Amino acid sequence: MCHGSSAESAVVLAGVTVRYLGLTQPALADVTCTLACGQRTALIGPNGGGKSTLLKALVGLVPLTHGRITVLGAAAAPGNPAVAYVPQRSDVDWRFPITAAGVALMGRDVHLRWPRWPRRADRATAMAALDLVGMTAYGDRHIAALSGGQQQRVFLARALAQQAALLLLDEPFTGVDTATEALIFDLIDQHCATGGTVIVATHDLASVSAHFDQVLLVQQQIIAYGQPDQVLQPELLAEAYGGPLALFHRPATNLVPESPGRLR
Amino acid sequence: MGNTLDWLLDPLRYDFFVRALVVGMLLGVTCGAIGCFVVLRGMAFIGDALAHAILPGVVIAYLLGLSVVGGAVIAGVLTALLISAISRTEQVREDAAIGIVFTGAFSLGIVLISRKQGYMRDLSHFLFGNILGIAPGDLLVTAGIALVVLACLTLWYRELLVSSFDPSHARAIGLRLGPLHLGLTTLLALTVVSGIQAVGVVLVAALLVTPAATARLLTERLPVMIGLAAALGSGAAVIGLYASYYIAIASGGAVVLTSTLLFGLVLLLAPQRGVVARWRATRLYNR
Repeated sequence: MCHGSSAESAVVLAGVTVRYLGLTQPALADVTCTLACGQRTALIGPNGGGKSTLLKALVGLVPLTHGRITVLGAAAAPGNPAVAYVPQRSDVDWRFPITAAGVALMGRDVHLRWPRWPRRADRATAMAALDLVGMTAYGDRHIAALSGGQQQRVFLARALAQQAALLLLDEPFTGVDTATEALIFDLIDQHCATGGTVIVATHDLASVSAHFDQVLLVQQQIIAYGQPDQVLQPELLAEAYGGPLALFHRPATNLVPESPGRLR
Repeated sequence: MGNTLDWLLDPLRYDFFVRALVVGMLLGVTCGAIGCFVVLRGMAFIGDALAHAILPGVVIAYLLGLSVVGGAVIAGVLTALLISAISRTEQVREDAAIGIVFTGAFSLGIVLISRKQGYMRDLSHFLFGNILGIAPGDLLVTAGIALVVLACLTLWYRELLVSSFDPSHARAIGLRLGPLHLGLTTLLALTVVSGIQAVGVVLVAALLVTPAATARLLTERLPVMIGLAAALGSGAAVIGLYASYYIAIASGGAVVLTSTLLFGLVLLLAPQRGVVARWRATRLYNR
């Protein structure tokens, strides 16, 4: 399912710096890394460490100050049907008159040419996606009439309806019940089992080892990237998150890329 | 039965009343439909501001002997651009920018019009409209604007839907929100221009906001909301015009007042969101 010129890499970041207007510290500073296809990658790091910015940069939603991002063989830009992005839920207008099925159907818009009127097949795909997240019975409900977990399922259904190769999920486990959490992990596994790639920004370090192939630890720069047991080391976490563990900070291991101008 | 029919048919003897009915219904549909996006995107203040800011365009076009509608549309679009330029400097909030621009533009219009003899009469038509004085040519303009606005809303329906509900997702799938918003504002300016002929600057916001807000209380689906708002808007126009014919009251005021009364009724009695329904629901819950 991974296609493009670089068949093995889903995402290539080359010297990526993102600086928001009016802030002295960049959100991301000279980030270089390559994420392989078909992998489940957890994106971890402290609040404000650049996780959301990194995901937004992959969708082409934030302008890069420096560097290049290649996603599935093409430069990162909005409107790529092969990239589905589930932002944190706070952005939507909850009073808007729309049902769960209506939200799922929005996953089809990126595939349709103007005027983007959905066809019967698009509605069927959206309903199938609702079914995958166990929300078929709630298709006619107003989006605000659902619980937090149900809402997250619906937004996941929208991403699934897009049938994208690369799934980007920003904090999908925040405010959801355990059943929904388990369902999200299942869907991630299925997506990768069929050749897709998933990148998930998460705070839940405890679940990372069991559910992800790779971990990317970000705090303005890439502190570490590798398999969970390699990255979930106290020193590395301390370096990223600060706090008392930072006292035991030791010189960079081979997992830590050279990083001049580190925030510390 | 025959009496009711006579009662309905009697005013139709007058061409001006028939034209007023047609214009009222066209406006009801157009304003109701675009009003849904105005209400959902929180643009009610912009609609009101555009109505006022159009005055200098109207006056200048009138003094130069050019198309008044053309002048109004240009003034409306310029106002929209100016508001967005000022709020983009990020030194002034958008609502303050709107307040500054529309009052400034309106004042410019008053100053220009005050140089003319008998300007109070023209100004009062502009402020309060004259739906019973619609000329056949004006009717064509209203119909043309209705056609353009409804066609654009249909063709950009998905874009407007997605960007109103979830701007982040809209940007992620490659929609350009700036041009979309400006396009909607331009359509709003067109709609406001045709509304001013009928009910005037002061009341045109009511045509945009009231039927759409009423419809929102009755449904959780945008297409249904648009249909209901159009029906409520044109229904209020018909009821208001008959009321103004039979009890000799100002037609623009009668149309808007009908709309307001319908809103009040629905707010009280709507099946789920109405005050009564919600009161009964909490009473059941507390028992």
